[in-house]
Amino acid sequence: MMNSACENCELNPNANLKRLGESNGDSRYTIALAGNPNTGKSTVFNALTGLKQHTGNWPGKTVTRAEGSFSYQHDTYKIIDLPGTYSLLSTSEDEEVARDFILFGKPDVTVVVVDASRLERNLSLALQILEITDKVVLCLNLMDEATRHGIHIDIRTLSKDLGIPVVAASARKKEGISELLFAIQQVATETFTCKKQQHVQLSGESGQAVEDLSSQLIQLDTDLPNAQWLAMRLIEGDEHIIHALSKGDISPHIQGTKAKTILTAAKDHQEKVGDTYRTKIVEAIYTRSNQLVKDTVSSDSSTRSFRIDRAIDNIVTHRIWGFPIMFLLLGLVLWITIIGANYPSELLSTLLLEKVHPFLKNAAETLRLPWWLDGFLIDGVYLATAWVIAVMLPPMAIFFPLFTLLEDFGYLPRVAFNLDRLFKGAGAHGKQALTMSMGFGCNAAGVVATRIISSPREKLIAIITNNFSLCNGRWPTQILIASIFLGALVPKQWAGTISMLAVVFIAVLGIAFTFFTSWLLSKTLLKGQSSFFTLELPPYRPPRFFQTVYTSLIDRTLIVLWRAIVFAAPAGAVIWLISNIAIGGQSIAVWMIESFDPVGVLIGLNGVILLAYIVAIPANEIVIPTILMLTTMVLGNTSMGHGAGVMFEIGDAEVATLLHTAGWTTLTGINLMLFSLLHNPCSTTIYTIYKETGSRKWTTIATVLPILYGIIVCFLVTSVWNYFH
Amino acid sequence: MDLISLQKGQQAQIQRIKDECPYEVRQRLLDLGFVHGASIRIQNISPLGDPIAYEIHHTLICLRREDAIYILIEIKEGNDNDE
Repeated sequence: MMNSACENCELNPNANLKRLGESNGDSRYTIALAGNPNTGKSTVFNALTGLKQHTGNWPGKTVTRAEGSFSYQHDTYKIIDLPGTYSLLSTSEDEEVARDFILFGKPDVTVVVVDASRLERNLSLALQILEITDKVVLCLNLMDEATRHGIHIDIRTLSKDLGIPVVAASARKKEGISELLFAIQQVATETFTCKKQQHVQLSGESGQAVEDLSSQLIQLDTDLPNAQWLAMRLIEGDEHIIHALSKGDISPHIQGTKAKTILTAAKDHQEKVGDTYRTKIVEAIYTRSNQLVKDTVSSDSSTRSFRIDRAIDNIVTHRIWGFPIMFLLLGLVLWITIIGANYPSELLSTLLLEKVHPFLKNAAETLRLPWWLDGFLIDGVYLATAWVIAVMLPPMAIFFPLFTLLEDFGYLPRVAFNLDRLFKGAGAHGKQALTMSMGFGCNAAGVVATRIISSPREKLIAIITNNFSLCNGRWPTQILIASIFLGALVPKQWAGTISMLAVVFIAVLGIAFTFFTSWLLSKTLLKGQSSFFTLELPPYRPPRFFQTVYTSLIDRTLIVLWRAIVFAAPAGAVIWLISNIAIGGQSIAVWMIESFDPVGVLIGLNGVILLAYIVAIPANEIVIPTILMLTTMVLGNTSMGHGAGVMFEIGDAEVATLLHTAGWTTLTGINLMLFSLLHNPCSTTIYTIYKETGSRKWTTIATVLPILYGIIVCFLVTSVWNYFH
Repeated sequence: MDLISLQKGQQAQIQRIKDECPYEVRQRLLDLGFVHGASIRIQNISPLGDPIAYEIHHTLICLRREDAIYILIEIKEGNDNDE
């Protein structure tokens, strides 16, 4: 970190802040960070800890809870970023994590981050938290946006009404962070005594029931800070809280028979108040929140109308224009990726494959390494790894930032909104539209993105079907094969168009398989009611260009690339070994090719292609070089390539000649394109699926199902083809 | 009347959630602020007609038809100024 004079100046309040990242030393105070989804909680977290949690304009980014630390004026604070929730009254996993931490973790301060321009609903969560604990700081985030919309908030009155410190902030611009730190410190050290001004008022029978039960609880434990809230939960019949109370987790003074008495009383009340009880609570919360907003917020109604947002929404969700705009934008992102990646890819492959590789070979010769060690390490391990980096890095480094920009801007939830009807028809969730689009960049990243889908059934459907999005690693194969085998069938001036249409057809076929498989799964293995669908459309936010590029490179590109390298290195070794170890005068590779050949021919492929798909499992990018190497080996063609087990690349025309010599036909080309779409995910994706699902069963299904499709589809195409020829 | 009868350009107030609404759906709707007295209007309709994005408490919430049907509303007045 830079140590400029300003950063250490005493007049700079941030000088007292030391961001400690993930450091896990002893901390004096524990801070919980709570809030609605998409209020910039993670941005506040990052500003305090110096960590770089991925933030995006998409509700539900923080899925697992994140921890970090910072020190401020000689004290160390641990801060926990809780999952974003709309309330603490329900029983979803996220809400339980958040609620349990506030209730049982007893943080010294709970910072509730709220969106200043959506105060009414956001305050409803803050009010619920205030029922559990007094030690709260309200952080009015996104103040810049609120000001832009002509909203003015009387912060002092709000603070007085709530009885807690209220801080205005724009965490994205790092504004208000020092004030927030000061407020946190004041509450933590009890310099500021939070005094809840007013409980949520329940009227009628429900109100009496809560009052009665909470006074019973207070009688047993006068120190109970949240008797009213406990009473509310017990009357509602919250199993979790009932269990905690009887175990003595809530209060050491209330357990055993005392707890039983309370629970019996709660049950009696529950029967009396009936079904509308819950509705009454929420209504009471909103009445209070409404009143607070009325007293403290003034807005200029003409700018308040979010005119620009509405105008954009009217266009991008338009009945006629919505879909074309969507295809255009996503198509544009893919096009820029494919075209833009060519140049850096060539540069990298010239460097790594044509410069560094011969250099290493020469060095090995000078050092007199035995041929097998040189081959194993340099032709096997190094070459495969270098290849993966050269072909994988550039498209990802272009695709992910572009995609993340669309995400940050807020466009992607609109895509989910536009497409939900189709996904619903297939028994899936609208947010799968996002994970599917992400899959066009990288299936592993698409699988990670399914975290935004909260219901487990729909999430699994999204994970298993992600592989049908034609990823970056497969586009070059598709384009190459289409131009060699399909473009060549038509007059020259049409060749480009025809091969492009063929590739687009494969991508669209992939989307069709996504819907078909989603539907199939939701009718068979993942049967069930489609769960309640909610999607909040966030306001559009100008994306922060450099930060987006930076975080998407770190979060997505490098992680995926690293996983690919980890798998590519051993695969390179295997490719070299099977090509160079001979049994009975023939290399293992040739033995395998010969044994796969009958099956290969049956489905219109050949042994070389099948073997290439098996050994090139780490990355789809190395399938073509592997096929070329294996083909020259089988043909015994020594004029091409660099010997057994050494992957290589040549011009399109030479590839065409080589493959035609090896007996490939138009049918082989078509089937290779189909099989490239319909085969197991790459090892990086399989590993990611396992990490996300934690289940061998679903990982196996996600791996095997596409291969089955591939075999069936290729077999059918071959049969039809042979029938007509 | 229920929420699916609301037309674009109309302003309405929520009455209550129907009794036959499943428990989980009711919970979620309440959490999002679908409570008695809240103002609601249609902001956008998906190109395929479903779901619909409603403006409620200055937020945009999309609901599918099958869930919107549980919400009872009362139309307030015509309001066409944002078309």
